[in-house]
Parts: sequence; structure tokens; C-alpha cells
Amino acid sequence: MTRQEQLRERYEDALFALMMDQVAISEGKKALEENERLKNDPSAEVPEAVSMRCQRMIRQHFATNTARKAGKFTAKIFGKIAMAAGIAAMLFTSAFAVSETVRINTLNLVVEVFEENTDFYFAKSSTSADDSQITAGWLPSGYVLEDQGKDELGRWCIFRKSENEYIYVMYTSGNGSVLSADTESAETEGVQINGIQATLIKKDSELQLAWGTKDQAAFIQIIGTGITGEDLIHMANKLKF
Amino acid sequence: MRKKSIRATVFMLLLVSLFSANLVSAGATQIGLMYTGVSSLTSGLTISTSGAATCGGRASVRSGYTVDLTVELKQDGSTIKTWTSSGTSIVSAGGTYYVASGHSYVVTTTAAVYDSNDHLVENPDKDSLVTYY
Repeated sequence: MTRQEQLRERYEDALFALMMDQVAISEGKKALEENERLKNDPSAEVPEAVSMRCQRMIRQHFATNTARKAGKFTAKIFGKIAMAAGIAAMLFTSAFAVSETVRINTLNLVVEVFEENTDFYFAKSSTSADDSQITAGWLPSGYVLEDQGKDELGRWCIFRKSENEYIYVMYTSGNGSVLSADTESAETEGVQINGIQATLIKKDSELQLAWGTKDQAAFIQIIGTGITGEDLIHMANKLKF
Repeated sequence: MRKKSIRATVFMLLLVSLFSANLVSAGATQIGLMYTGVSSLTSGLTISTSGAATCGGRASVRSGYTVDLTVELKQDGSTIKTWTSSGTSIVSAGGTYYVASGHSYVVTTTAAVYDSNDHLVENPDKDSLVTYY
């Protein structure tokens, strides 16, 4: 290609570029005019229904995102709860396997709470109750042994300080027996008597303590008036039967 | 991971529910009582291999009240033997009675509670555990 031919080719390219530039400017003006016309033309406006639908779609999109985040948070919390429950179950299973007391108390001693009373019984008690005497290792000041006896259910003692201040101690065979204690409008709490779970019932001036012996042979029950809960628990801890 | 956590939680809840249901179902249905003059009421029954049914009932009585205690041995729901006793403080009644095999037995202890004016204030009762012999 000669130099002249090269110059002519460049000239044609430049001329074509200038022409296209003019076309682009002209098309841009037309587009801007059309835009202005559409802006001012009410018939070209986006219909209300379409606008609402678009807004609804946007809202749904954001709501889905929010729900997904909430779901992730809930799943995280559930995961933690499941882990805590799993650990608690494992600890309980270990205690259940290792400790005879936990095993026996879990499976055998049934405590049923009703509106007026609470029933205690062993679901299964094959052990014969010990026929030994009840001996108070400690008594609150002023209380003396008034009476004691034996019946088909076991043994009992009455300690008295005055007409309205007394302590009943009862040893009841657990085999086939149901012990029902008055708990209507009473305050109850769990306490430990020599390492065994007992129920302390407070009703007006009367205190009642009931628990099952470790060998599941019997129930021990102490009912007292005119004494404190601390004294009753101390007496229970010192009781020999 | 999330699915596993949910499954574990549901499984634990099911286990707890089953455990609770077993504990509750282990006991017989009891009648609601009202205790004013008695602190507790106990009913017991044991039957030896020879058929000797040892039946007992006991009431711990609050001061100011008197109790007439009735202990009934029931065979398939019908009373076959009754023991009674009256008193204050701790009142008990019962005895031994030979029973026939092939029946269910229960002891019902009833305390008729009277106040200092000799008015009947309540009449609670309590069943022992049911024994099949």
C-alpha cells in the first residue's frame, strides 16, 4: 500500500467517526426529548398495580432475609439448649448408674401431689420393715416422751411439752402402704436428712417431715408443733430406728 | 447441624415425657381429701404367701380433735373385714385376716374427725396399694 493510499484510508476512518459522532449526538437529543415527553405524558406513567407489585416483591425479599436471620438465631439457641439438655441427661445417667440411692429414689419412691394432700408410697417394696424401737437422739427443750406404741403399720412415739406443743414420730412399713400428708395451703420444701431427700411441710404452726428410708423398707414421719424447722430437721438427723 | 440440634432437642423432650408418664402411671388414682383435724392418714396392706393379710390404718390427729378410725379390707371392691378404733393424737387400727387367692385386695382407712363439740368435721379416707393374691 502506497503512502497516499494509507492517508486516504485514515481520512475515510476519521470521516466515518465524525459522521457516527453526529449520529450519536442526534440520537441522544431524540432520547432526551422522548424522556421529557414521557415524563410529561400521564398515559406513560407506570400503572399503580405494577408499582404495588414491585413494592410487595421488594418487601417480600427483605422479609425473607429477616426470617432467615431469625431462623439462624433460633437454631443457634436450640442447639445450645439441646447441648445443655444432653449434658444434664448424661450427668443424670451417670448418677443413676453409680448411685444406688439415686436409682432407688428415681424408680421407686412415688410422691403424688394433690390439691389437698401429698401421697408417698413405694412403687415396689419387697424389703421387710425393721421392727426396732424408735429412739430420739435429740429433743427440743421441754419435750418428753408421753406415749409410744406398735401397730400393723409399724411404730410410733409421742413427745409432748404442753397440750398444743407435741411431736409425733412414726415409722411405717413401706410395703403396700400409702402415706397421705396434709399439704392443703401448705408450704413445702425439699430438705436432706442424713443424705436422703425429705419433704418438709409447713402449715400454720405445724411442721411435718416425711421421707423414705434408704433401703426402701419404711417411711419416717415427724409432725411437730411449737418447734422450729431447724429443730425438726436436727431431731430427724439424730433419730435412730 | 441445625437439623441435628432440633432432633436432639425433640428426642430429649420425648425421653423426659416418657419418664414423667411412667412415674405418674406407677400410682393408682387417689380421691381428693380435705384434712382439718388430721395431719396425715396412712393405709397399708401386705399379704404373705400363705394368704395372711396384714391390714393397718393410722391417723395423726391435731389437738382439739377426736377420730373414729375404720379400717376395711376389701376383696374385689367389697368389704370382707373391718377394724375400728377411736382416740386422739395417734390413732391406729387393723389386724390380720386370711384371704382367698385369685382376687385383688385393698385396705381403705377412713377417719371420722370430730371437733371439741363432738361435731363431725370431715371424713377423709385413703386406700392402700392394691395387692393381687
